Amino acid sequence: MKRPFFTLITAMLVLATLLAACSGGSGDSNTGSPSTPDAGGATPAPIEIPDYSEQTGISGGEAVDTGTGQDRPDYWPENPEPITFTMFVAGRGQAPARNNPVVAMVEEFTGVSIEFEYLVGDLDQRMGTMIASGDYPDLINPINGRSTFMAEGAFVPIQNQMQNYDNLKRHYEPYYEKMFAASPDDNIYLLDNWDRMYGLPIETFYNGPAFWVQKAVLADAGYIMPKTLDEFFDMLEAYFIKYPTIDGNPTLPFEIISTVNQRWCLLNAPQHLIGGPNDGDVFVNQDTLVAEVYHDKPYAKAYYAKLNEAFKKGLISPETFTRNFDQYLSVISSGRVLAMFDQQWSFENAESVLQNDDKWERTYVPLGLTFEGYEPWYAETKGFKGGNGFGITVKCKDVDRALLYADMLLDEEIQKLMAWGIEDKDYYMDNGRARRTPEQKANADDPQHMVDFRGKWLYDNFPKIQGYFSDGNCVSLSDQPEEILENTSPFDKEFYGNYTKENGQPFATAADFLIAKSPLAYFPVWNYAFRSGTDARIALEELWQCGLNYLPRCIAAVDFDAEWDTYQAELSRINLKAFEDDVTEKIAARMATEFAE
Amino acid sequence: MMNNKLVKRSFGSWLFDIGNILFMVLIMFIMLYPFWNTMVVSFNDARDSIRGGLYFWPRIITINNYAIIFNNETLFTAFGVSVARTVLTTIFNVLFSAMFAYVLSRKEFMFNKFLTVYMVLTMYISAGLIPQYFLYKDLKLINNFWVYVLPSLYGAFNVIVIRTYMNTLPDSLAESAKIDGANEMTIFFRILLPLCTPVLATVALWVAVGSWNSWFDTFIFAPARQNLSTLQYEMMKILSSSMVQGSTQPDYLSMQQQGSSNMVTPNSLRAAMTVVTAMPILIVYPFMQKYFVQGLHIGSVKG
Amino acid sequence: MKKHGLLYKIGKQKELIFIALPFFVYTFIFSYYPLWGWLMAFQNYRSSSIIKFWEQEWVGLQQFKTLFGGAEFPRVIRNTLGMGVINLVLHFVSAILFALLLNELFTRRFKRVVQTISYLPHFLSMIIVVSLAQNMLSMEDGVINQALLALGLVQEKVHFMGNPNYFWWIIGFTNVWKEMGWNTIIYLASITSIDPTLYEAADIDGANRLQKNMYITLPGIKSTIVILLILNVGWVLNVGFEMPYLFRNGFVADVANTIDIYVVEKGMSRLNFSLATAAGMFKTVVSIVLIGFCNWIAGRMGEEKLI
Repeated sequence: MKRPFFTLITAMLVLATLLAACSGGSGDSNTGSPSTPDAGGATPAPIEIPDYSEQTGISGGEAVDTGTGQDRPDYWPENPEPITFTMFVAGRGQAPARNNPVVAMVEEFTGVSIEFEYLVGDLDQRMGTMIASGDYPDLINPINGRSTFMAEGAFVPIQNQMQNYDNLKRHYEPYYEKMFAASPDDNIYLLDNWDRMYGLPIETFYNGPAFWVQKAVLADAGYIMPKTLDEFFDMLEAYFIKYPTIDGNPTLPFEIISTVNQRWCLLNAPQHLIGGPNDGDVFVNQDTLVAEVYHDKPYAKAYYAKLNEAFKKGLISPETFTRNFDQYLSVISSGRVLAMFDQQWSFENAESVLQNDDKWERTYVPLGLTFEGYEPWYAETKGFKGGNGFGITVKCKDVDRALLYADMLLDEEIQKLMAWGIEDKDYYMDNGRARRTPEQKANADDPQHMVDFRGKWLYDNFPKIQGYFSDGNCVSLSDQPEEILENTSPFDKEFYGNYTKENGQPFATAADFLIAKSPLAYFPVWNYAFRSGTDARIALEELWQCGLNYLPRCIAAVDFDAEWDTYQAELSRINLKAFEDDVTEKIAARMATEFAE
Repeated sequence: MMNNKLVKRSFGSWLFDIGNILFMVLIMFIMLYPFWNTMVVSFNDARDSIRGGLYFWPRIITINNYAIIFNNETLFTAFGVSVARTVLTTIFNVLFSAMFAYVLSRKEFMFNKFLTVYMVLTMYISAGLIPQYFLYKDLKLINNFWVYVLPSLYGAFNVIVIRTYMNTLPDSLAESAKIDGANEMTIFFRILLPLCTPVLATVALWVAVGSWNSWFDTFIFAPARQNLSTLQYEMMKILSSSMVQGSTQPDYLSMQQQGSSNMVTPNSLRAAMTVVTAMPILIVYPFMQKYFVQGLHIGSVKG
Repeated sequence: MKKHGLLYKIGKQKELIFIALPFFVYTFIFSYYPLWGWLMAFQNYRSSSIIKFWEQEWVGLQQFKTLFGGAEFPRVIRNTLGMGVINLVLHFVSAILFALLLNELFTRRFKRVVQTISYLPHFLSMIIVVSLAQNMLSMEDGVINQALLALGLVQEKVHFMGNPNYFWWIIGFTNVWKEMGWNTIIYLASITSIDPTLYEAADIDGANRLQKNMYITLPGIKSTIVILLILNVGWVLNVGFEMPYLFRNGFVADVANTIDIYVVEKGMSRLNFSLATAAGMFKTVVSIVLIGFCNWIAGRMGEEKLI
């Protein structure tokens, strides 16, 4: 009975804080129409990005001058000569449609059209023939092939030439060290596409690793927040005893999908339990910066012993280990799975079914569990990584033109065009704030719409402004506080209202269940590329397979210790040292530039 | 179908027929189910399909999965390329396989053994991708339409199958023609080829389906040329792009709150894709079927 | 004398030689010439436009040692052979039996319909078929478990996917499901080559249908069966990567890994062309030995020989 009132108060509080946070933006000046990119310099807007540290625990950070205030450089051609670059993207995706209006505007402005080849089959096979024959396209976004392409001399070094381009220079200058460190020799080959942040917006969502648990379970336990593995399983057990079935079917308290493609669900929890960030398959000591494989460590054993105990209590179904991914999503979307260790982006499709059914109490929030006495570290603040971008190949027909293209793309009007779309079609301006109607939001979620009418697939492969534009609007419109509020369901508003942050404010999103920490420069190891065929890479593959083969048997074992010993014996055959040493070395290489400053 | 009218059928024979028909009905059901289920998934709302439990009828009917496939503007040129490669490969492969089989079916041919071994070995050796790529590059086949046709002008397996079939035909046919003074080509085209219709139809079906379904050659040897893309490769592109996990792009976030109506999943697209690519073959097939169900009548040829 | 004989023979067979020559050249170019790539098996080949082929690192038999030296290798061979033999037997028995039964249908239209439908699973990708099979075998709502329970054949649901004893058979029967109809095509085609007068004669002799199948149809397609059997025995190690890989899970991993899976995991992916080449050479040798052996046996038994 106190609920409606409470909800209202919560909502108002959240709204107030969020809007306050954003009031720093230029309130009333509508900065020109992005649909006319060749209109010359836009009206300079006062650059004033508010500090969000109070709300988010994150410092607002770095320079936010995106260059809008300046005139467009005089070296940009008025009527650029048309040129077509071919580009290979070593990841999945789709080329924009031929008559895509946004892409057409970008092409008109820059004179450059891009002919994409997105990877369809196996990267190594495509890369192998490409490298062996030297048949490179003009540009490559190498993603997981970056170390191979760089080592084979596929790219031209660009550190000198890029100095001639004002936007590129300003965009990357603070991070040159990291960009140099990303190459095997002392060159810059890749222009980062992602994570060059101009201010850090409020964390609106979290989709990384965590122990995800249904809101209903937390609510039923009285809005508690379990901190340790033991508390967590006690909570699941209590709920399971109370509700052995959900909607007439057996409750599944803890699911562990054990397929290669979702291997982290089975393999990656131990590092977090002792306070490590998501470094993939190693735990990195944050002081000594030495990497260790954790699957042969006592803390890993403790975790899997706990799972074995849960299995014996019936909290884990034996069938969980033999489910394929579709079956996994199917049981989650039925609302019967209480919890799992997973990364949310992996099961988000199943969660969207629950949301569509209005079963908000069956959707999930992340818990940062640890063993007793450790501080959780699941989420990280965003930051520049280095080496995560596109390169210009030695076969490129015009290197300068390619650099000029990237430079021109960094123009703020073009950035808005690609990130937001066309004004009044894909978004509208409301008193200086970029907003979207529900229909416009739905369009932005429609992949086909993105291919046909939006710049997404072009935008993804080139340098971009992230965080805030100089008018104070978030680059990602779903980060706009107004949208966050609109997008939160009534159930969620009430549910989150039962939790408060350290600063006394109520939770606003699921991301508030975790505290993001700022990682060191080496982070994250899961993003490192290990060259095919090297000892490190082979060890890594064997490590995965060994875990996937033996851990289900350990968890389901009658005699856990015996099964664990078998697993350890099998692990000991793998050259884990080669992998650990390689990681430690790579960490050192990345950190060297950091300390050199 | 064989001369049943002549036989006075016993009770056991009737019983067998009934049993056989029942068995065939069961087999039909089992064999139809996977394809039927794929159609059901392809016509069902993608988000709803995540729930699983789809069997015989869609729960939420939609053509959205197909709309996404047919929205692809390059699909129609790709379809043309696929048809062209399939027709050319089938004609060449069947013709040349049969011709080679004819040569190898001649037991008196002095190089018979050598050539058979020479050819059979090719079925079990593979040089690997890299040498293959360099070969095609030397032959100027990279990014060239003929890369779909030239590497499979004949098939060793097909040759063996056709040869075996030829060997079951009475030798007297070729012998008598030879005495009449016909040359080898005449014997092959006039006498053997027509007699081999059922096995040639079989081989044609294999080759056509194989060529129609292949996408790997496009992927490795002609990936960057839109005008050389095949239907299968376009399908693979659509499927592959649907596997992108949306949330790397923050705009996808609101999918969760809004419940977009146009959600796609790889599974639903794959189902629709399968139906789309299989359809042309299933439409063409009945017209070919008579050639290999129909028995040939050696007797009449003999006479 | 001998020389004259040869020349005479060549002269007499010049037409056949003339036809065979292009085949010889074509096969050489497309199949034999690229075999220089086998040298990769003795290198630590890195795909590169900088390092020339001959300047790659030569490692002798290192790749073969990696291949054969793994502790898992004997188990992998056992699995591959186990699945290969089961697949081979099920493939032949099901396809031939199905062809004979189809042939016994007396309404042509029904026969055509059954035949067409039986091909359909061939057009589905492995991933769809495997996923359907997994759904049917699941404990959650799998139709097979429900049927077994309903018929009282089991007391509680069977965890098919989690039991190593079932794995090879699941692979085998899924293959039958997918390919049986497709595999019958060749037998149906070769049944058409049987002289219809033989059946007429048998009818006059009062042979029943079983006898006609045993003494006319089967012998009539025997040469096709034998030849296909020899060819397929050569491929017994090619149980493939995809199906066992898709079906595999932790409980059955010990019986699920095939040579192809092993090579991919051992060499890390397909960029390790050297290890893949070594494995390919190994399989080629095994194939040739098996084919030679089968061919010899077939010859000894007086059957149609491949070569």
